[in-house]
Amino acid sequence: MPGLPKIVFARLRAKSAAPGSSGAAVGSGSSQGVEHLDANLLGAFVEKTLTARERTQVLNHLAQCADCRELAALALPAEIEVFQPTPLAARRGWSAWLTLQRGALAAALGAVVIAVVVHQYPWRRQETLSKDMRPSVPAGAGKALPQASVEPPPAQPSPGAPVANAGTESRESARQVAKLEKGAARPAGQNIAAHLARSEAKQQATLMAAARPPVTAKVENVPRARAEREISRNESAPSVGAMPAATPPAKLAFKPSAAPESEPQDKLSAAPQAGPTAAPAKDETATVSRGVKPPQVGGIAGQRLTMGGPQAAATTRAESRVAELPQVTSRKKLEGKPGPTATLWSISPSGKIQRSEDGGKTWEEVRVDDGVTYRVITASGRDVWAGGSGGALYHSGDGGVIWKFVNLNSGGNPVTEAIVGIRFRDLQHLTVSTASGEQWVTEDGGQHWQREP
Amino acid sequence: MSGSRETATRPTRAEIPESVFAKLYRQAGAERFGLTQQDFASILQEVSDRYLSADASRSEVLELLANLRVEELALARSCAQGNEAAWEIFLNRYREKLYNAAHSIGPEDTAARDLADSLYADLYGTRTAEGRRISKLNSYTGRGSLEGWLRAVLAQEYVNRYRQQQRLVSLEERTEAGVQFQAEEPDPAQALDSRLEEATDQALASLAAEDKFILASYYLDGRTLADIARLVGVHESTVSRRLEKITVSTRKSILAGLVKRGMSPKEAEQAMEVEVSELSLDVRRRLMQEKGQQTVP
Repeated sequence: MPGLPKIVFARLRAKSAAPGSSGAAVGSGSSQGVEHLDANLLGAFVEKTLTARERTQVLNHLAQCADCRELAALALPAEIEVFQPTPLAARRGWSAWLTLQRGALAAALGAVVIAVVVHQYPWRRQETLSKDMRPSVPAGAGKALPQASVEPPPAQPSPGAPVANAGTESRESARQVAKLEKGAARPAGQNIAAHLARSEAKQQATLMAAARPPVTAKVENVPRARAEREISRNESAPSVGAMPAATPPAKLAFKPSAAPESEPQDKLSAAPQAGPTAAPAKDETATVSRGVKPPQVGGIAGQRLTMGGPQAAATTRAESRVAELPQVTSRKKLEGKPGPTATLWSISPSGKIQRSEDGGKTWEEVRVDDGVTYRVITASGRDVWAGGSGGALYHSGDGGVIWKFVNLNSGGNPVTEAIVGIRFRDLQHLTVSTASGEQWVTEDGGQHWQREP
Repeated sequence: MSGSRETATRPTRAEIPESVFAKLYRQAGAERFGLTQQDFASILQEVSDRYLSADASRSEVLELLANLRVEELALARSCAQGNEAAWEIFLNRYREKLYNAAHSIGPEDTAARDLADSLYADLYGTRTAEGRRISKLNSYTGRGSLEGWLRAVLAQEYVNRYRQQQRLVSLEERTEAGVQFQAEEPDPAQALDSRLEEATDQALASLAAEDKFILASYYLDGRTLADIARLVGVHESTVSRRLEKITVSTRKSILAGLVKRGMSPKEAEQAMEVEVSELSLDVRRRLMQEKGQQTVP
């Protein structure tokens, strides 16, 4: 491909002052008639917090000022990485189809090989038969719940609202069961899956009863200083389906929240819902514990899950072991550490939507609308709502794969102010706040909106 | 709600509800830093005066205020006034970050430390004027994070120091150090058609601000795609694609401009082809030469 003509570079250079050519100190405001960018605008530009108009003005200046370009590059933080994972929808290209085909072919071949091996070798069949003929193991004869299978409570719990995710619990429970099955003889005739399903149902019902309204936490990957402020404001109660908090810097300790605020003030503040006053972490731990019916009482730590306790006496050993598993998970939730596969959502300092699938260790940017600076994101399970500049409101009902623009308007006049708050009681009832303090409510999951007087 | 812009003049503080200032004051936690609500409201008014035009609407003012980092703003301004509690918090939060930023900018440990320490003195306000402390923190407006502002100020300080040192290095010293000065190769003698220059200026003027920035950063500054991507806020591959598109569109635009100015399409292509053939040899060398002269450690 032909490149740019030399004249383009010559003209660019002519319009752009070379670094240091002015001789004056940078940042002094003016240099031989050229107004340089001050540190506020430079910092805001690097962090992508300028308005669209300001950004254009800054870019126009940067295109012509080598000094300021140099400063902007130096002012870039070392740790900020721009993640642009390919959205799931975009992966459905020919390469993905090819991969899918190959995978299907490999799976088919594998199945054929297994079938051949099973049917061709009599000794395997005999071994299978011999397993079935083993005497059944009495219930509860397996090993005690190994401590190693119970993850210790995190030393540095997350700030913000440690909230539950029903999907995480089931996955975590499944993992715990898998670990157990390795070390313990499976009681013949006992359906672990059925026990697990029952215990999960119990756990969900318990959490629903003890849960508070979903917390609309606008969480960001923020510096430690801001995270401290976040901690002091966040509620600690777990809430089914509410958005998990981002993982903070390691040294911060979890603090109970203050009185809940009625509405988030800025994009960095966590905004607990108006509702019951937040209680300190310990009390809330106790609250949830009390709300958990036996045999799920306690469930605080692996050490307290004694096999010989009164709960175990009421059920078989295996059943109590399985029933105890979700309690450990809930303990981790109470302490603020989400499960390793919980989907976390946040807004980056530059106003981009971010998602983490590994409990906050790594984050990937989710591109929805590049022209929007996002201010708030709220999730309940797979329902995700994000709001930002220019009245932008987006909703995803599939965990962030497909996003739909939600048109807030009154009498044909769309909202143009930034969306700074999103709260919902449930998936049907939501309230959206704008920068000017307007509130819009929906009672049908976003189909129709009404502005509150 | 009407999306139309209000044409009234920018509302003064009296016109913005007091409740807005009160809300921001509470949010900032300014009271613990010894700032009264009135003090804080004055700071907010100063910030809005600085960034908004006279005809800014109420919603624009409110949006600006809502986007401010009010807590950090309160902290910075309290530090500037000498509030010890604020300064203690500032040191706890930002001392390490400032040193880390200095290390990332400057290559040497001692130089970086020295840079950070000198900036601290400016931030604390060791100088006074008319009995008032002069602190750089007074210029922080809360548009971006305090940490980002500190990095920008540090970068400014670093560049100023470096250039000062560069000016002090004599030609003799450079020669002794073994730096050799390569003679600049003369441009090939060719008459530059003014139409080409005009068409090029027009093509560059029609580019979007971001495109011009990308072009300048890549071709003039020699920045990597990754660096440009971080500045612009997109992926590296996006920058690469943008450069290709800019190249194609700029060529087309220049060609169209030349044709419009009386050249035939063939003449326009030839005029540009001559320039391109020089590009592959000369400009790259020039860019490398310029980079060598502008070395910023």
